[in-house]
Amino acid sequence: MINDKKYLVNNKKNYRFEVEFYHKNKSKMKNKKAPLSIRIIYVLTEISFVLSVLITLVIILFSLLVYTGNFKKDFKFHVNMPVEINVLDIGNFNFNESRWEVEIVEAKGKIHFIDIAPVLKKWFVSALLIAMSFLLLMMWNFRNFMLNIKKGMYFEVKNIRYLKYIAFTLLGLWIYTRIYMDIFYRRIVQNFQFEHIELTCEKEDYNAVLIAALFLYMLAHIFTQGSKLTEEAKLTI
Amino acid sequence: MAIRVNLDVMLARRKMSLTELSERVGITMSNLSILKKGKAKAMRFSTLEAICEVLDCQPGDILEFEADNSETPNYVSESRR
Repeated sequence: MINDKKYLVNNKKNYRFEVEFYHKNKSKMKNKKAPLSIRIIYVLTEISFVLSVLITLVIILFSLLVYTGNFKKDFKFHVNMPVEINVLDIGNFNFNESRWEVEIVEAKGKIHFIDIAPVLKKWFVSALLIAMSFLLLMMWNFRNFMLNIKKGMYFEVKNIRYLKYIAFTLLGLWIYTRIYMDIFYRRIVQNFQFEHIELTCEKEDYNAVLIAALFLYMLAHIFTQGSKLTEEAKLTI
Repeated sequence: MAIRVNLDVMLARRKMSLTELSERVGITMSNLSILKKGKAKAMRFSTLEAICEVLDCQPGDILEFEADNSETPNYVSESRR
């Protein structure tokens, strides 16, 4: 079995040599234009990153207003939270000139807080800030990764690190979301009262995030192998 | 490193510069430098053939095996498993 950690450490030692090699071949690399799809993804990534930065700045400003108590009452605090709902209603289904009776039993909805207690405001804002930090960190690493790909530097040690960082960030986001949703359902959803519907405590598991994290981690290992092969090819005279 | 490249020795014997060898063999200076410094991981037969032809020598004159006790070769560790 190939020891990846040992490989990365050895690579750090050869970093100076790699830099030398990169500068020698820089002119050749510059002449190669990245494929159109890569350039499109890169532009989209840049736009998404700039937007995430702007959104984060707005959230930080918003949080400061909430924390300092300067959030004016006429500027209402709107929060949408996804919830599963138990409903019971009978309706009709018209098809091929026939009519069948149907009933709706479950639905997905959003809780829209029109205005909430200051403590909860702070709680929501903190949760939003943490989630945004995870997303921003992930976007930053993905942007750097895409920048390297655009430059034609595919199997680089830096790319392996970026992929691992993204995987760990996604894993962190998944754990955080699970914990947050657990607390949210235990402390908040159970306290809602509606006349005609009942909120269930079924929560979204966000397993797609976990799968994405595992996939990226696996991809990082594939990149490690690719990096080794590239290095060998580079050093074959 | 177990395999040592004696390219500089052969160049000195033939009184040839690295630039001249590079021109005659058709390998870039940076690649020859990698080879000379012992940073190369592998060498193509075609490269070896071209160098031997220009320097009028045998592969054994350029490459030398040097037993290194500090590092266990890969094939030994593989067979121990």
